[in-house]
Amino acid sequence: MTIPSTPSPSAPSDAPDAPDTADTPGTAVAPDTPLAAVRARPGAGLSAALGVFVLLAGWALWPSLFSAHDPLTGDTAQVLVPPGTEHWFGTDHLGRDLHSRVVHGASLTLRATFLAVGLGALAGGALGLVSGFAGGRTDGFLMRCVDVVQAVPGLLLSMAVITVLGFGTVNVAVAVGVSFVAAFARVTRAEVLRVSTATYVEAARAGGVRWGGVLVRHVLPNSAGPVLSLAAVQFGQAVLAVSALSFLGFGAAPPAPEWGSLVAEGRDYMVTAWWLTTLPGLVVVATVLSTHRISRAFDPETRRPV
Amino acid sequence: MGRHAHAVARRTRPAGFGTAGPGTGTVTRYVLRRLFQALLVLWAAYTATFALLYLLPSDPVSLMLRGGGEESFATPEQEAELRERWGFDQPPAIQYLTMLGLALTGDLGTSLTTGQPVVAALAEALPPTAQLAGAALVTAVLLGGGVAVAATYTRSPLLARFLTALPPVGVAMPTFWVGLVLVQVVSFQWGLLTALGGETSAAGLVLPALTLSLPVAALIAQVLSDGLRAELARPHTTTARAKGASRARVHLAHALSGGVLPTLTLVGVVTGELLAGAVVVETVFSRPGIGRITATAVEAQDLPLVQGVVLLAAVVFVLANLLVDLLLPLLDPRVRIGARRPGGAAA
Amino acid sequence: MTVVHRPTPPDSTAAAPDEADALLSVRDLRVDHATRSGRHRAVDGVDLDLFPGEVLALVGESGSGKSTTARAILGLSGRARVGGRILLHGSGGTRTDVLTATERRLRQVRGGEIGFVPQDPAAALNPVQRVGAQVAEAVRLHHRTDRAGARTNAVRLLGEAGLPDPARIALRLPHELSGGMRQRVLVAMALAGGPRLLVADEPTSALDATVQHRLLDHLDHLRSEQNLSMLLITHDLGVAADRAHRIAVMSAGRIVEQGPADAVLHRPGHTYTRALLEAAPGLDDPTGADAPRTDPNANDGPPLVRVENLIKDYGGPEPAVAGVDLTLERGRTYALVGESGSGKTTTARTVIGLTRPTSGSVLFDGVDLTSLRGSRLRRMRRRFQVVYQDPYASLDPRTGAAASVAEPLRAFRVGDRAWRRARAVELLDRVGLHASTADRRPGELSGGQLQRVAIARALALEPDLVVCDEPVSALDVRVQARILDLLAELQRDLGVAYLFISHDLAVVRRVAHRVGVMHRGRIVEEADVRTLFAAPEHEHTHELLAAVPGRARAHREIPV
Repeated sequence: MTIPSTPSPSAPSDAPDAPDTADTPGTAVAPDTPLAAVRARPGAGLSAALGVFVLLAGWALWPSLFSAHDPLTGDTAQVLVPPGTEHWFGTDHLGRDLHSRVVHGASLTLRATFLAVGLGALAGGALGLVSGFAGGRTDGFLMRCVDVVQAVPGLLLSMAVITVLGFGTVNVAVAVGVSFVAAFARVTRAEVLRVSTATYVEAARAGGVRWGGVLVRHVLPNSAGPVLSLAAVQFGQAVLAVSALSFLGFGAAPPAPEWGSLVAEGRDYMVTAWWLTTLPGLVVVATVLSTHRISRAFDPETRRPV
Repeated sequence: MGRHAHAVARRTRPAGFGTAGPGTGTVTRYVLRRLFQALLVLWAAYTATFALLYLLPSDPVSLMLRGGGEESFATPEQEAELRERWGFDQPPAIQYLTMLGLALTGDLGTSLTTGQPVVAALAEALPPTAQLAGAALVTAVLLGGGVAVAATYTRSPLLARFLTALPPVGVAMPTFWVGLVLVQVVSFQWGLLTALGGETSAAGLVLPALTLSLPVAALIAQVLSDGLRAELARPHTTTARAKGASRARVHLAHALSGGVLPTLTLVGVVTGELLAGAVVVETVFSRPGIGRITATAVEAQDLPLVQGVVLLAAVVFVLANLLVDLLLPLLDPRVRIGARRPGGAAA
Repeated sequence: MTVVHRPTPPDSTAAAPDEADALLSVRDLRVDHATRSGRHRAVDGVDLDLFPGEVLALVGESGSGKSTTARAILGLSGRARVGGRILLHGSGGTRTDVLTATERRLRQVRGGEIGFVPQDPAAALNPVQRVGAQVAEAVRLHHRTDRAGARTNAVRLLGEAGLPDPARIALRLPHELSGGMRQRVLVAMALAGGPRLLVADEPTSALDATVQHRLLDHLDHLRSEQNLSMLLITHDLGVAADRAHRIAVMSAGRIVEQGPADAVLHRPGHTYTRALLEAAPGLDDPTGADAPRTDPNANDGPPLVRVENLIKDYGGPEPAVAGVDLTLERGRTYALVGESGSGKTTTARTVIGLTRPTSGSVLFDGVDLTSLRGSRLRRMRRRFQVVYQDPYASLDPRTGAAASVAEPLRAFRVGDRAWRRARAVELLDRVGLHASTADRRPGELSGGQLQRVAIARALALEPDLVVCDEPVSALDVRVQARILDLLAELQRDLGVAYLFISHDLAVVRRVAHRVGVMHRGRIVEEADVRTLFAAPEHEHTHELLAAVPGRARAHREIPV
């Protein structure tokens, strides 16, 4: 019953430990850094997402390069023109080119978004790090505070902050950022706790590495991934929150073209000019979808094939 | 290492027959304790909003007088008189204690713009919003649950892929935009359910509730299908298949029973979020309710009213989570009332 | 290896019976998994026959395709592409090809004709359902009975599976039961539909040796009582040797050797089988001549570690460590053996200051470690290092092999960066890893290679003591043997002492000079390794020795 024709598994190999390699080479075959993942396997979805993101960055940084018309002055002869070759997104009731307004709006909206996420990530990350690393009463107190803050819906919290700070793009950004602090604090703390109880951290400690070294060399690099992933997810959420607050009229004063206020302005012409509400909204959807897709590339949990 | 230590040293406790329900006394004590904790959370939320709203550089009176960034018409003397009338000339600690004392008697102050008591304003606005949020929650559970079960059950890879792609899109759509597009298509193009104009009839509720439910439905679909997939990948579902159970049975009786638990927790959390979503939806559909009040209160920088809304949101959140915690042991017999919920959110 | 004599089971010497008599015949089974890098053939042309009343052991290392074969037999291959034939011969002369059968027919087969005992009892039961209900479900799927009848039946089955007080056990949730009890629930479930064939996929590998032993005995008993056939899938040749009539050895998706158990064990025809047999520690007769262990490092100097009356109480019903004394000589290996929860890991962690004892003293080279804290303890850490059980967890996933090895050097500021790097590569070479692995991260290395990296890291500071906490129990048996050889060689060359933690007596016998058997927080017996194996005194030691797989064949016949 023996089948001798099978090649012997102990056949010579250049690796000195050849038979070891016969056992499963680990589960973590995924690339180790998010960027490597992006570079290694940019599927169609991810490529499209990156494309959208690059385009948006272009809009935000050099809006004039991407728009043919002035966003603020209208052509009274060209009022409420539907989308076409001359005006890609059509024009509004004052004859302003909607595409130009959306492109210029990108800079306002995305800047607010970056500010919000940056604020939330820095403040929340620092709180989480302190909480996770200090433990004990400090941790208990900080986490109870986070609990209380999380009992209030984010948008309401932002609006409470706006009530105090007043209107404007920057104030909206700060308000949204404040509402993100709790989530970042929670995730950072959980990651710090997870990593600092990992066996390799204990191994480093048993090897004589000091706490500072453990923090810098093991805890921070290994907990950064999920926090970055959350930042990418929150980026999409921030776009939504910033434009919702702008829609409600708490953002920049008109005629500044924020994405949310563009949709709000189009409300009055819904029957005759569908494009005024629909197209800016679609740009928001595309932005959020692409950040969602990119965030998945950062997350080691979801990097496995579905 | 002591991986099995727990299993070996586990107390083996006799379980009741059928249900593992603890005595009614335990439940009452548990609910009382949770209600006490809820009061603590509310007190903390009250203190936090007080600190945020009343202690920051801009004081309420000048905010009120210069609402929306306009110049104040009041003379300094008039301002000072207002401050004295509202008690804002007192030291912060005194202000806080006075207001907290009043809050304990159910007095959250009066609106700076309408002069109406905050509690009365909220009570008046609550019913339409509760109706909207309730309808939205039910829609979201049905819609999200349906998508999740279908996406994980179907054998067609194409359908599965399509259904799996839906939740991210649902989460990515701004609520205000969804509302407007729905109105545009359903009301203007199809001439159905003309909803603008603040109708509170059943037909008028359809579009607002659908709008409000979409992001929540997307979240539920996401979390539930993740939960189902995780359960289906666990060995116990293979065991069930190996004993001869059908796919549907494995899916509904085995995977769902464990996979639904994270979704239940999620529902507790998003119930509070519905209140925030109502701000946008009620604005889009010009419906009366808490959302409208909030939007106008923020616009007019009406601090007592904003504080009232924030506290109301905290109450809703705390009650929704209490309800979820009471429901959880019914779905997950491992959880016992009175034991700490693993990874539980609020205190 | 030692030749073991035992009466042969009736059908094992006879020529393989006709396929027509077989209960299950698998022909040219091929299973392809779709992976990111294309198709991967997990099972490649497997032929198997299983005859009534027979136990066939399918033996192989992880990844050899044995579990994939089991799933294919149950028609549970999921999205994998399956080819070949899996014929199930029914009692009335019916034949079912599992691969072409309808889903409805398959549901009758699963549980009704083939019972499945899965691996990992902790995960194989629905965590939110009472175990009685889970068994009752299996009953109702195959017998027409009402709820009450199914429940009575379930309780009876639980009792037959050897659970005490089955009526009460039926109302428990899986997490309220021990691993062995859960596995018995799974056995009850597998038998609920009245199958004629059991497929048991590593049914006991997650259990302690003594629990495994009792469970396999009980399974044998049930099997002979109900005249069942069993396909026993295992990585453990010892288990196969004890329990099977015939053995099929699987490697890389193929059956490389198949035949009567005796023939395979004593006259292995294939080099792979021979390699497996040599590596399997438990198969040697423990009382026989062992690999001679010379002690060039043995000296009469003072002991390296002296532990006195060590107690660690976590506040449980009894302390985790309840008064341990032990002495470890320089350059020697002291093994602590015991089942999970016996306190051996806690003892070891206390010895190297990772856990503070409740009371007692640990003298390391004359210094009481329990009184040291902070930087003074850290300075002592140069002299004792750890190798953990799971190499995947004990190495930072983002750090390359050489950097991990150099980390302790860096922590103690030994040499400069270039020197440390050179030293790390040298150490990797010392543990048998090529310089090309120096920059690989844990995800790119195999379990055996990772454990070598961990050993190199532990040796970087040239410590006097290395604590090895189950260093090979996460590895395949051939890799185990190599790592144990490496540890022994390093000890000879470097004179390092090991405190070796293991639940596996067979492993201990290969490496230890002195052995302490732990049970419920105490060392119940301590002796030189040969004395302990030749003349065990304590009852618990006897029990542990009896449970070592591969010994049963020497002492008794397999019940048929």
